[in-house]
Amino acid sequence: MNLSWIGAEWGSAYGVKAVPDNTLDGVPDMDSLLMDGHVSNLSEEKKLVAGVLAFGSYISGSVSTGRPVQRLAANEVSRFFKDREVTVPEVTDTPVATWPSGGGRLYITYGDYQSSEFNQVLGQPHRFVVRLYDSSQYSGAISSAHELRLTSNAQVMNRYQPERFSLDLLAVALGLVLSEDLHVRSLCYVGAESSVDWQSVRELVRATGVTLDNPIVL
Amino acid sequence: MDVSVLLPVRDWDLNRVELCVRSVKDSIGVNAEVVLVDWGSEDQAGLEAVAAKYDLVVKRVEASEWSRSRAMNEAFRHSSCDIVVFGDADLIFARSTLAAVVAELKRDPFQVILLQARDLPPFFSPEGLLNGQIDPFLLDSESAWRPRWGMGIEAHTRKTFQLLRGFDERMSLYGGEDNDIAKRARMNGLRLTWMSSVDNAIFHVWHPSSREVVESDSKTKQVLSANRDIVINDNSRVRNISSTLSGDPLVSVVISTHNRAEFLPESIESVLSQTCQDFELLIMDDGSTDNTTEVVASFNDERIRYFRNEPKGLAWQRNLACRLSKGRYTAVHDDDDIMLPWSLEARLNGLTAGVVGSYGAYYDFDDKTGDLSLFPGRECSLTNLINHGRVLAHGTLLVDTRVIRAIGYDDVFKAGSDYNMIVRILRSGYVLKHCNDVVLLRRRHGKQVTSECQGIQHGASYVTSFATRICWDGRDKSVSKQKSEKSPMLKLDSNITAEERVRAFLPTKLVQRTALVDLELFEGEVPSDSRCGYLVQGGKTKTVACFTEIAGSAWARLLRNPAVITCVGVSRTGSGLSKNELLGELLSVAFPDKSQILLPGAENSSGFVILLDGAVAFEDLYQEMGYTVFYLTDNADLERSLRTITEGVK
Repeated sequence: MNLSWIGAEWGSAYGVKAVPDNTLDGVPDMDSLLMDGHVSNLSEEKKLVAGVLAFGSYISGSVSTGRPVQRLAANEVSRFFKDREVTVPEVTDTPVATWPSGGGRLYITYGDYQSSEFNQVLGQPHRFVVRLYDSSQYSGAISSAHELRLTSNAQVMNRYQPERFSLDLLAVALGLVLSEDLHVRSLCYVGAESSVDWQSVRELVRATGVTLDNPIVL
Repeated sequence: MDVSVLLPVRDWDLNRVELCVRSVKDSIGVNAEVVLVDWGSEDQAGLEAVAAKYDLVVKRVEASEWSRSRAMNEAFRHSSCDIVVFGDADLIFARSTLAAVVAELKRDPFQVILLQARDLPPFFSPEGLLNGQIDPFLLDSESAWRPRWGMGIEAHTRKTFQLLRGFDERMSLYGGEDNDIAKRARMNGLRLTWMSSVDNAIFHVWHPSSREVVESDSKTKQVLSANRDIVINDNSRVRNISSTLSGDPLVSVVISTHNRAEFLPESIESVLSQTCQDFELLIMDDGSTDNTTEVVASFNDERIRYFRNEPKGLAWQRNLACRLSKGRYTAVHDDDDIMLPWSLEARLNGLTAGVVGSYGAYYDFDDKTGDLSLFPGRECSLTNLINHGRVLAHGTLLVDTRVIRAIGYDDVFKAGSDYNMIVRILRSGYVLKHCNDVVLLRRRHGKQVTSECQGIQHGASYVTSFATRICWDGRDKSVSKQKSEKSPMLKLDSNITAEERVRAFLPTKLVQRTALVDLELFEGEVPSDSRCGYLVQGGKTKTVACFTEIAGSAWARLLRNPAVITCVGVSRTGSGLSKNELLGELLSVAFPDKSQILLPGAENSSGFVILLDGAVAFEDLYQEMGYTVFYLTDNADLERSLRTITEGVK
């Protein structure tokens, strides 16, 4: 499976696209996790992990972004697929400085959920809230320095095939995509209780230089 | 039972069959069911004796030629487990193999397992293996891996095999069917798992290579070449549209209607006349006050599901229909339009990997004059939808039902909810594709929603495109314009778009039809009859059975229609029945109730009957009824007569 960052044909939406190889991968009916916004910084590792979180159930054999990724991330991706053999063929051992250097925390949730966790605390690392809205209903993005309201097709993907696309993992994937531009060091998903194996997701996300906190269950 | 192992057999070495059955029955960790299908073996009793030893029942199919695809599908129909393993009766399953397969598929059902077998050397004879103790260590050490995965051995969940609609039944003999279904599994989102574990082995018992037989026979080579062609060139994800492996229909056709009883019969008739018959038809009555209920009831077809609701608008009814529907795909059909007979089939064929919906070209026709205007459509992109009209007609769209459920019609709009939904489908990242065919006749008349609610429809369109464009910056807009300017109407083959091809299916008040039914052709594949511009649908069937085929076809429906001006031509026969008997039977199918036939002289009607040479038994009858009778002695006469009739009709 090849994972790439793409712009949708109409221009204003961007996202991670999954292009299956011609041997063992399943072909997703929805092959792109889209959002109405663009990011300037996205490492290969974050792109890879975001793609794995979104399209993992279609991957068989190997997964790649087309460019080398850090060995740690490659290893964690292979470990994430406990039940099958998945390799990342392009690996680099060239050291890369930890980046971003910020200490902020990103909360990501669907719709208008409120939580006292989102409140800023003077002197504490900055808290940024990303609220995802259904792109089959809304268009565009609106942002302040504290909050981003962003449309994405994550909800449609989940409604279309809930057994293949988990709302939680799609949200974490989008959080990862945004994390570099926002210079955050930790992610936290806020949503309904689910059956996601958070421990293995946490290990996977951590390999990209971002920590994933326990989800806040609403 | 945990797993069904499906073994189709045709005159195979019974020792090998028994060896295979015994190995399945000896499996540990699972309770395995063996389904033995005898695909026309000469030694029927021998196989039954083997089956009896293991308390199995052989499902016998009287087949004249071997088709592994059809035999496997038949075996599947007789299986009962949620997990199915397709194999051949020359395999030995190691005792733990089936348990490993079951565990894997239970853990993740969204995969197809391809098993790699190992070849045993010739000195392991079936007799020796059957009569002696099988030493697994010896088999392991003496066997060599086969060249690749599959080679006919694979495992599916019952649901995914039904989703794939089984092996492609066009394939004869063997070869390619495993690659083809693996390819389609991927196209339908299932990943493939290549299981080649030494611990969970499958051994292939040696036998003389069948390749040598294949290479020495040109007919067999042709068949294999046709199979290969399907594997390489057929990229459609839906196959076997005429047969089913599950109880649910392939397509749900949805007609939402409100006080259109005058048009509804032709709309329903056109759905029932589809070449793809695996559908249900949901008719959502939006509080009609005319005789819609009686019109629907008059069809008396069990595939029709009629729901009479309070008037809440077409969009609301369509949303409800999608919650009630059982089909994997939904084709929304308007109550005043006519689906061309190949419409569902063409759109199903247009579904390829990553494509969730398919649409086609359409003809507008004037309900008073029958004048036709072709609209081929454009590539379905968001830029085209926003910047251009006539990208696709909603009534030509066939789409995965889950897409409509996930997106839904916005029932606030009395009109224009279709355009709104298609835009939102594309914004969500789905792909819709043109099927490169004409699929619909769209009626232009004074009571169209587009005529009555034009303002509402335009309003819906404006706000829909506004909601999409609002987040485009200036550059996006110009790029969008540039892209869409490069996307003109699609150019379709002139044979596809020819008016003559579709004119026969206009409402009966607007057209006169001629049918040429060449009975001899029914012994093979029935081709399209381009001479008359009609497609005569049938199947692979003997001549005697052709009436059944005709009875279920679009033609039978057209012929039965009381307002149709009909010419029935029977050119040749190929059965034991006399020509007169055939003709008589054909006409009795076409006109079960003689009173339905309109006599010439009645408004807008006339009639012709073509009788074959010597077929005089019905002559008086038809002449009495006022039909013009043509006498034929050969095909040239037939064609001449048809020409005369066609010109006369013009």
